[in-house]
Amino acid sequence: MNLSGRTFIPLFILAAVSYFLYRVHEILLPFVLSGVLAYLFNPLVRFFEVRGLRRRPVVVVLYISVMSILGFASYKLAGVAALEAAEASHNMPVYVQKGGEAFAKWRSTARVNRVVVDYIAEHGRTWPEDVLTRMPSFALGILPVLEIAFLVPFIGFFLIQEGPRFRDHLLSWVPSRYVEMVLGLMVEIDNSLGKYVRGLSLEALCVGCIALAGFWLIGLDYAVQIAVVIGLANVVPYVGPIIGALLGGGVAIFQWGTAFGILKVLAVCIAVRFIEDWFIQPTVMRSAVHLHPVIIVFSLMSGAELFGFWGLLFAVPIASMMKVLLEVLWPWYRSQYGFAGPSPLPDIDRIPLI
Amino acid sequence: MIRWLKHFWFDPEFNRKRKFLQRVSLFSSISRREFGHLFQALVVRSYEPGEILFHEGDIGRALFILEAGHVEISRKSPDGGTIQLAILNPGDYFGEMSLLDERPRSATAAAMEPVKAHLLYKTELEKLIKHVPHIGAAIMTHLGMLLAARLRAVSDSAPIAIASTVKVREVV
Repeated sequence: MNLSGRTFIPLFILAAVSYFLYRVHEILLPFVLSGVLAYLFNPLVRFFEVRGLRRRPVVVVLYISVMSILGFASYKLAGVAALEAAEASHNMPVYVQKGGEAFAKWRSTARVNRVVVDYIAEHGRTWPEDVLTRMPSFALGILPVLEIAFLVPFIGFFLIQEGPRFRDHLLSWVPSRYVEMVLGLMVEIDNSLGKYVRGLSLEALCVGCIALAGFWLIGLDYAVQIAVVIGLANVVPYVGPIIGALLGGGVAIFQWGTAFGILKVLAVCIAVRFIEDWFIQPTVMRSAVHLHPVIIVFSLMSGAELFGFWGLLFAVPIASMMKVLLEVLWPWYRSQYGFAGPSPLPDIDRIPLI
Repeated sequence: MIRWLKHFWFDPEFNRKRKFLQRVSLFSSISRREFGHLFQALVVRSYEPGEILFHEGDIGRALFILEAGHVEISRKSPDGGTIQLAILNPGDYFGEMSLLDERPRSATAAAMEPVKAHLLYKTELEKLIKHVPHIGAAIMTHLGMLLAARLRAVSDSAPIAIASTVKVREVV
């Protein structure tokens, strides 16, 4: 196969666009999150659109309603979080004392390396105070998050409103010979990505709720906050439950100061993990693109290596997209360049024509 | 006021599209209420005069429904020339075999004038079959009937030739 100008130009454009996206990847986050928002809204908009309603007023009304509900919920949640933060700062000396007692008990009974024990003793005593003194800088660190919180609904609104028109517009630029292939790619990626985004959001919600129920059941403090973190962290495969166990375990040490308390938290986290693996994932992620666990781990590590935290977050959807690209492009490429014959026909010789 | 509200909320394009697609024989057994689901599965594309919609030998994965303009269907002759097979009018559909077997196109389709076509991609049809089975089944039934009618027409026109190529199943 020789690279003619017709093959080279699209490849060159693709490479240029990829390079451009790589250079500006730091500002892409609000656009990616807006895409996620659009995927979440789309089934709702579609419900009304198939009944003959105009897309624009439907999107405006839905957007205002959902954003109002979310805004009210965030306001209430922020109130609860502020109350619990005040309570935490009030209880901090008690927690520090309980934690210290638990550690001293463990230090005297456990047979572990003295260096490790001394290191934990040195840093563990000052850690809560360190966290409290760093609070103002944490608060400043939230500013970019607030920026995203305003940008994402804004960009998302236009993405949802454009909807299928955006797809039709893109297709009108594609040379007619490649329309079927590009349309195929769009449909497959849209399907798999849509299912992944919606499945993952639903899974995060379910996992968060189950974790909350479990933590309430064992009487763990800050159950809401920890459950929210577990739900959000669940977006990164295999990482969510570990973060949940670490956070919950940390709170358990300060709250109860006993090994049994930590065991209770661990039991809840393991139960959540099993329920997720056995019941939630097979149901909500049933029709999403299936990736082998080794590929998932590899994509997570590559994402983290290339783009840090956000790379970790978007590694799996991007790996799914690449899988779909391969699944659609490879058969097309093989048939186009004569590497493979057409798909086999049914055995018509064995069946009489009647 | 009611008229204004109706105009504000309801899409006039929806009714226009429905009226057009109801005339397409492939969708004749789909009820009025279900057309909204079908619209979601279709993609609209315009073609300039002389533009090729697909070439003979390309792997096809979509069905085309012609809304405006005329399309010429042709194929290469053994001596290297071109044989015109048909000229399609608005309301006709073509490329339906690709929805079933994803094999190379048996002919070339070219726009004779500005053409507007709706494309139904194979995966979208599969989604319809899964999520709105009424529509999927109606389309597949129509395609089955069409293929059966074509096969009968071929077997009626050349029964001996076909009989010689098809081995009759041995009765044990």
